[in-house]
Amino acid sequence: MIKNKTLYSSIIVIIIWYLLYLFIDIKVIPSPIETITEFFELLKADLLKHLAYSIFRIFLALIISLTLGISLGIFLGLNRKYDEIISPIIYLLYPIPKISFLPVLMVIFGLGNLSKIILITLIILFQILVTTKDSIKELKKEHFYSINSMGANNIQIYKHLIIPAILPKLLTALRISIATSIAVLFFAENFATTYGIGYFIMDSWIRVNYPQMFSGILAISLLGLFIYKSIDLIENKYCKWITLEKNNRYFT
Amino acid sequence: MINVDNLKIKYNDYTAIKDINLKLNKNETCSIIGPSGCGKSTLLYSLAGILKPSEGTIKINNSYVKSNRKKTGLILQNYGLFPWKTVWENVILGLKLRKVNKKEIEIKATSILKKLNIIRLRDKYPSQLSGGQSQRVAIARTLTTEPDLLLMDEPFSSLDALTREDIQRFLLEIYNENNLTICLVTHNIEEAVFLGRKIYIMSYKGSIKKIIKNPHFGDLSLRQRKDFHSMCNDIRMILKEGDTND
Ligand SMILES: Nc1ncnc2c1ncn2[C@@H]1O[C@H](COP(=O)(O)OP(=O)(O)O)[C@@H](O)[C@H]1O
Ligand SMILES: [Mg+2]
Repeated sequence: MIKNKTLYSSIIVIIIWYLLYLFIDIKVIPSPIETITEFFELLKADLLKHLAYSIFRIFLALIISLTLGISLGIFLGLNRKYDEIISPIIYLLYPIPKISFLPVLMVIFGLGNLSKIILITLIILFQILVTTKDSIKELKKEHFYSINSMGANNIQIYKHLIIPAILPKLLTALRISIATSIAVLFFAENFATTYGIGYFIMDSWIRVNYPQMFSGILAISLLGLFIYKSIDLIENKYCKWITLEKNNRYFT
Repeated sequence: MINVDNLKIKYNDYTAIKDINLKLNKNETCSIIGPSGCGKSTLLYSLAGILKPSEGTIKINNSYVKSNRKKTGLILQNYGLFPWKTVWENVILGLKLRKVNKKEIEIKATSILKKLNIIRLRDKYPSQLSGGQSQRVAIARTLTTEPDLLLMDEPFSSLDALTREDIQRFLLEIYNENNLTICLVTHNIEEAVFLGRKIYIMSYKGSIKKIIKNPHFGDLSLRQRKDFHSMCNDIRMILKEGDTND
């Protein structure tokens, strides 16, 4: 029905923003036009650098947690013995808001990048680990029997069975955990750093520069949007079958 | 072709099947029938080399079955198709795993899909198929690797009566064309009689209660004959006997 959903929703959001600007006449909400002009001005200055710092932290955390989370998740999913020993511990730690460990991490790993990256890694890692393990456990023994009866070796079993089976839920887990980690990063970047989009926003706020603050908000929103769209792209390419199964549902 | 001697299979401490002796010549068919939970699938998986004997031996063409055998095709209870692969990708999987070259894969798979009348489904996913269509795809996938032995686990149980009879007839045709040996597990008496030259009846305790030879096997119009129904009745009686005796 609506062809370009992103364009459509961006327009609606900007209209609402504009209405708020008109009717709530306080300085903390600058006009969209002013903000967007400011945004492009700042990009030429150092906004891009702030953004790059944040992206660097998130992507490094992402790579570490994907590597660790997927391999450990597959291992536990396939080895019931170890799973019974390790999973209770994981489930106990899973619901703890990892951000509360920030002070501890800062004492151990220093105030710099490392503690921030480890914090985000912890958030994404748990999500990936638990999802990977659960999707493997949902696999039917018929799937393994059927690929084994065709004489598949281990690499082929991963390629044709395990990886495709975990991918859809993995992407969902990524969506959720990346949203959380952007929020957490925003908070963590207020400590002991002068670079990062979180720092940029809070710094503009303290200096009562609202258009600049909103440019920062715009930048962090675009970052989130970009990551979500990338995940969508992967999903459309590799998980078409899931979309089809969704179409079979009653509420589409 | 198949020679099973005194086979016993255990899951941990639980003995699922025992004292199984089974012989099947090349180009013969047998059906294995028995109440649900009696160990039919277990027996079939062991023939496929997926489950290892706890006691006894399984030989196919005079060599022991240790793991999967290249020329054995296995069709599972709920088809074992991968939901993330299209019909085409599912069907060529066996060839791909064997590193057959692309051109050959294309030719072989296309001809089999055409023969099974499912070529127009090639880009669909399993969730978009009906039961009968999925079943054909599962058969196609197995046939691409040109098996000489076909093991089937209740392949038609979820189909409606008409589709089932259709595919059963179709299976007989494939059997005749390809010199196959077929071993079929079922809990449907008519299916056992229609598709088995030998019928192994299992007791719920996991052993073979009786072996029946089926002289009418291969007759496509078997269902219309009186003998067919009397044979079905005999088997029904034997299956029931167990309930009262044990
Ligand atoms: N993986 C397993 N672990 C333990 N017991 C099993 C397993 N698979 C099957 N069984 C048991 O073995 C018996 C035979 O199972 P199965 O061969 O699937 O029977 P059928 O196919 O005749 O319905 C059943 O009692 C079942 O509960
Ligand atoms: Mg079974």
